[in-house]
Amino acid sequence: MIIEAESISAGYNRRSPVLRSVSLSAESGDALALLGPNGSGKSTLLKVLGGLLPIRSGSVRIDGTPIHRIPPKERARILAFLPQDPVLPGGITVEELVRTGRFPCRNTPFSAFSKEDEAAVTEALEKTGMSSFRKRLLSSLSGGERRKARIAMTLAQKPKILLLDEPTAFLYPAVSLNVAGLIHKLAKENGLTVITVLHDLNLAARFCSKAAFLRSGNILKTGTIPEVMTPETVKLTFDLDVRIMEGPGGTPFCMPL
Amino acid sequence: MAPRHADMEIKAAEETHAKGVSAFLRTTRGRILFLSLLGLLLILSAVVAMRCGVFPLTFREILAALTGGGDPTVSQIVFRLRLPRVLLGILTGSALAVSGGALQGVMRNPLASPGLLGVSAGAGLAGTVILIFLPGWEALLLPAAFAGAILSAGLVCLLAMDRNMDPVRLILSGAAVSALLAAVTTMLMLARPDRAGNVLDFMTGSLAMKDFRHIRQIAPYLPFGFLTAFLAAGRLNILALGDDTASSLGISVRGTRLLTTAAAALLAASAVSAAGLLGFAGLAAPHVVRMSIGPDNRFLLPGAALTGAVMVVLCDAAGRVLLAPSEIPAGVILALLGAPFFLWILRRCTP
Repeated sequence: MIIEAESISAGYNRRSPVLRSVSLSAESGDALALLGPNGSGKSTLLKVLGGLLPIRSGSVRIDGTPIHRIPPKERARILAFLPQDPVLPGGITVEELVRTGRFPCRNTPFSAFSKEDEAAVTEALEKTGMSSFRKRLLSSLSGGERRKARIAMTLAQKPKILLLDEPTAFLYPAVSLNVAGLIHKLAKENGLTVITVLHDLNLAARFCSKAAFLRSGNILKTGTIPEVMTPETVKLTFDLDVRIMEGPGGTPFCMPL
Repeated sequence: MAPRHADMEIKAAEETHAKGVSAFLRTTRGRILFLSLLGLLLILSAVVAMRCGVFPLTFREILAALTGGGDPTVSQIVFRLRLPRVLLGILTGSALAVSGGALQGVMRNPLASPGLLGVSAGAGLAGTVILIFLPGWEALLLPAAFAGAILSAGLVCLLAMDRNMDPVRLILSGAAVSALLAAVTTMLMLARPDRAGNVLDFMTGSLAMKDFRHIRQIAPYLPFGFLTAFLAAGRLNILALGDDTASSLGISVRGTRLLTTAAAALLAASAVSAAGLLGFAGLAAPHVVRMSIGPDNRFLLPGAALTGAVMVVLCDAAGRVLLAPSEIPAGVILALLGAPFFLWILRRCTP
């Protein structure tokens, strides 16, 4: 599915918009990384794309339909969203958390879980490597495991479009490689449209197909990774001097100077 | 994402799994069994409460009276005194507990209780106004208290209104409105100390001197409150995951908060206007259930209703027996016996 934003302005109060006339699009098979310094508007852009924040001007469309025209529950069957710091109640098990991902697909919260719901939950747990944690209480998990359980919940939604805000924050390198690898696989093999905020340029370069560089609410550059991952763009966005080298698998690798 | 030390991790996972009874209580079957046991406990408590009082009755006497036979004096006691008290205890206890449970869910705050909405302060002020300015119009007491409770809850919600109805804003608005109304009440009581005694009677939660009239006056509102709260239970579960997650799952955060808060206000206002604020039931009952069967509101709210009813019925009975022939108000017993019991459960259930 294609999700596109056209010259959107949005923000949290009237006077100072966080985003100024931002345009962006992604389609099935894309893994698009949103990159930029703190406060550049990445999270705000992601919320706008998810229909969670009203837009002041411009439009967000999914396959051509304006997002505010799609009923929220129907939107939730297409699009899943992972907030930057999700609230996770400690008293529920991993399975109960992942099962809530099926909420938009069920008629009432009181109806029985169908085979399809059950299969989606099992698959989501397997994909994130959380199967053995199924019956554990969230309060007994480490931060990384909790994050993976929350990612499993978004997968149980069986979305066509996946919006992730810093899915690898606070994770150790091995685990964040796992998560980034999963993002890559979801886009490449399962044909999802993935848009993710990432703070690690090299993770983005290696596992995403496209990137958008944001600064002060504007998109400075957007395109495929080899096109945009240049010393000029990085300097312009982050005020950081880098040398671009060849990384594992031939992808660009940023080395700060 | 295969775990690196799969065997070790699975073993660790098994070790920290909830075990035995507490694991069983997390399954649907276990939760239903728990609720059924609570139901039985409520029936048992009601029977015990029917027997207790200045004139202790036997089970057989009560049964005879209920089926229309037996000693006419016993029949009078059963129908005029005991039965309405037990029924009102069940209604107010369950209403306050569901109100508290729903508010705890909606506010994502374990400290939330029916008093949070300013209902008790509102009911207290309205009741005080009637008692002090319109003595002899006691019949207006309940409707006025109900109106006062609903108005102050409405005011609190209005003050807290913004895009998503932020819980912290609601809690602080409730605290401020309660403080304001309580101050006015105190001023009135100080102005007319001769009538202040009646007010005190009204403000301590108590089921003494209550009859079917009280039940009839609050009964029409309760079904709406209970039904709305129970139907919102599934959405409350989602709301527990945060506002952004809830709206991304297709839920109207503001709508759910508003509707559930309104239901909680209706339940609390009904209970408070009939029996005063039996505040502890509203705070503790949902927690007792949550600690036993987990935070799933679809089971938590019905469980809280049963637990709250048991608590109030038993505490009212105890209040009649402990210092007989004088009576201790149920609200006082609730705090005196309920608080230590609650603390004991809290210590047992926190790892």
